[in-house]
Amino acid sequence: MTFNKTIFWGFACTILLVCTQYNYGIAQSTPDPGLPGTYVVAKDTFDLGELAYKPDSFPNFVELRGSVHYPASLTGGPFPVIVLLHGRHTTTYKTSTPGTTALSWPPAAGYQSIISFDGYDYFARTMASHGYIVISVSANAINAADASLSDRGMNARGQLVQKHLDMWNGYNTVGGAPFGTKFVGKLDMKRIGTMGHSRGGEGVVYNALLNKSLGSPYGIKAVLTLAPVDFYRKKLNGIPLLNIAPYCDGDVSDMQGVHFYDDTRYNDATDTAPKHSVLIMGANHNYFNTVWTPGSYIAGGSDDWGSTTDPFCSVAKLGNGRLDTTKQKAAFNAYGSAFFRMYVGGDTSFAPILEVDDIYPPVSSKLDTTQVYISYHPGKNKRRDINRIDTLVNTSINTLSGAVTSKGLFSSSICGGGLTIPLCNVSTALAKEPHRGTATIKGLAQMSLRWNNDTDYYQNEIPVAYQNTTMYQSLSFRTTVNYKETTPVGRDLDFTVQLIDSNGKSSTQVVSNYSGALFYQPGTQFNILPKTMFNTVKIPLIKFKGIDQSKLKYVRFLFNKPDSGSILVTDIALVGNVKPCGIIDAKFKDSLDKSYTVYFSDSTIKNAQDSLVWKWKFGDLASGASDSSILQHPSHKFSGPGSFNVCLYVFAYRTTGLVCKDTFCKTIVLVPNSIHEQNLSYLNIIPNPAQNYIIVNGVLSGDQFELRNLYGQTVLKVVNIQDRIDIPNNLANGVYIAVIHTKQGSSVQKVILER
Amino acid sequence: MVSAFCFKYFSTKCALLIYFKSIFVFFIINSNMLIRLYYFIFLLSFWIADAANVNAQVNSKSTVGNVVRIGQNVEFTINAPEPFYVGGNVFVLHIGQLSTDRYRQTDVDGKGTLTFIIPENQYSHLKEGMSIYLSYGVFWTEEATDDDVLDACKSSPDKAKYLGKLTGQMLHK
Repeated sequence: MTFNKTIFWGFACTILLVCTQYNYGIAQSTPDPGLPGTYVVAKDTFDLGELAYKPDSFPNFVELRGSVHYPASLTGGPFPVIVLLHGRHTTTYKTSTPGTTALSWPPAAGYQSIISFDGYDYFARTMASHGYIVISVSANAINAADASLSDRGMNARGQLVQKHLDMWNGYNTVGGAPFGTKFVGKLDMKRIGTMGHSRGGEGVVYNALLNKSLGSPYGIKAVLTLAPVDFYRKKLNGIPLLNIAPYCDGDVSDMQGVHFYDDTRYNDATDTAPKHSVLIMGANHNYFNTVWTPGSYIAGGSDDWGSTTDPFCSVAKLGNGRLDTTKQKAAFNAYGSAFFRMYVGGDTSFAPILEVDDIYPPVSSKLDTTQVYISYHPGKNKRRDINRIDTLVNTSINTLSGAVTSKGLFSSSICGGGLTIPLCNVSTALAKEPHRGTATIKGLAQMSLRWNNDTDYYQNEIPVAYQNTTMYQSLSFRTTVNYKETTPVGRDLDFTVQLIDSNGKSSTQVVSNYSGALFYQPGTQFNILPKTMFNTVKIPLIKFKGIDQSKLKYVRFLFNKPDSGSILVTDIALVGNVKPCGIIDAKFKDSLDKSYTVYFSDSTIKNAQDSLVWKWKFGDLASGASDSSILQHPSHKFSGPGSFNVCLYVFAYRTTGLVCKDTFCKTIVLVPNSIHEQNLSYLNIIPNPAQNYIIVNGVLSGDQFELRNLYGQTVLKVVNIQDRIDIPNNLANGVYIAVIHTKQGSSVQKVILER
Repeated sequence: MVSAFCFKYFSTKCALLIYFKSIFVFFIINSNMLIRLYYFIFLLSFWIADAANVNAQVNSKSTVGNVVRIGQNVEFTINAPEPFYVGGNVFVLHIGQLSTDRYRQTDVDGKGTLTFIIPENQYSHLKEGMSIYLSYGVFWTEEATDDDVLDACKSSPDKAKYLGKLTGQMLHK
């Protein structure tokens, strides 16, 4: 009986667990980055002294101490390098009673140092097993004395990491104590990733900026900030960044590290480095480090979520959402590994995880889709911003200068801080607003959209010049539930994205089929929870069936799911794996001879390191196999008179593969009695389209004008062109060919009659 | 969690915890089913609370200590019978509209001290009777009223504490 009950409840619980997982329509199979690799791992420690180095910006001497994990055989190097920097934690414990700790450096008599740098060994082992050399750095001396410093030791942390890079550069070139020549030639100092936890997070940002200021002697390719502080709002552009925010952070409880992502998005117009942010539900501040985790080390560990009353973050509450220590470390292990292996190691197979194309967490992370949410801001070369929602103007005009309109919305406004944008937060709710600005520092500007009817919508127009969106793969935006205006409390939201092309055709997709980002963020801890943490929603454009992606005119958020609610939105963009570089500019000129042969000339200017590939489609199906060409300057003998849509596709390749593409199409019209055309660019017909008259600029006395229809028939002839040529009323609307005969030759131009 | 820790690293506090837990286990084994159930529930709640090993950042026994003028600054000290939390965030002292996070943090003989350094020209603007708060992190703006802040202190005592009013004695030292 008992056995049967056990089976029943076990089965029921299993079904319940399975059924409570979200089921999204974009399941993909991405390799699991958290699994161990094939290298056998070895670990060494090094200790050059407790007072071995004096950073310029710090009043005291500091230790040069740490550990290194590496592939044991060290064959096949040089190996890429990861440097880890722990955060601020108590520094020493009393040997006789480890419960007694002291914040001092060097350790007093009877005390020993707390080895915070050892706390990421689990992650270092994973990375080393994949062929990385992982150095973890001790920073106790800085922790012991940074409280009273105006920079809280951030410059010293940056310098300390740089000092270790210098040291390891020495071990890599000439060797030295304590490693001798063991690591000579084994470290790839041009492929380095840095990770900092807590104050270490801001420390590695300072280090990356310091390294840049020194002329980038070391190749820092990726920076990961783990539950970091961001006291000073430094902006790191040009290097891929991942911020990890634990939702139940009881230490840096305002999750301010998300500013590293927010502040750099539009700071540098040339920045091609992506930014990522991972929100881990149920994770706290300390459990990423085993030395800070109670039960895993002799002294100083604690659960930093001190409150016992919150239903989600307090472990004392039945049914809470907290991750245990094993899960929390597994989560960091998986996402940290994906990030470094992608940007330091060049393994792009993890891109779907970090770029929100695959929202199913890696199995090794031990998370489900309700426990992790990601934001992704592609580099400049991989996105087209529709509406950054970055200024107050963006309530009515978007980033592309298209109209922003809405219907029936209860309210729509922008907040976010800074001198010109009002703050979103007031009074005592600061920690609920991680993206917040201050009176003088801009936060994440965000559009609040509140609706109370299922016909309400919010819409961004895409101007004609940008309507060809065929080079993009997804529509992307960041969003969150606005808990302040959503009732009942705890209600998850949803809405429909509608794309409309210039022909009026539309297609819709429901957000919840692609993302769980519109969940009401949990917790009730006064002045701390719930939060408004933004997460990315990304919907593949291919899912919007039946619209012409080359003529996308409107992006509409149709609030027809729950018929009332309030969300916050920002960063509406088109995102693609490949985007025109801006340097590749596929355009061509064409000229015509009397046998319907047109000579094309491409004017693309390429990057020096690129190789280009051309593909022409002449739109002349009757010409059979010769309808295409791969030459830069081809000619094509058209099958006869008519109107042809000629397209040029230019692809740029580097050693890493395809980096850019661009497309240019043009309709050319060949009339039966072809005219040998000269390039008389000074001749210009206005207005075009025309109604009742045209003016030909640039003509001289004696020049003649001829207007032909597409059958080559002359419908209007003017022997001596005057200022204005009236168009007969009997001419129908449509395309005509204007031929201007001058002493230099004839010019052929297309004229559209539209009245 | 604590017990696992205790087996590895002995201390008096841990020994007491293990002792009491052993007594409960003994009673459970030697009682009837109903009593066992009550004990079990009690023990479960004990273990759940124990498992947290939570740590409040603002010590509930924090008090205002010495206030002394040194050069152009006033050093305003907050004491606690245990060391103050050492973490990523900052302690902030609020007196009226004044907020400062510039301080020295020390722990000597198991007691904690935060010594906030306030420029004399700012301190001299303070008035007797202003409320004094200590918070771990920044939780409220200047717009927050005393009532707002008191609510915050009551609701999240691990993050913020009301330390009383600024007295004439503190002001004129």
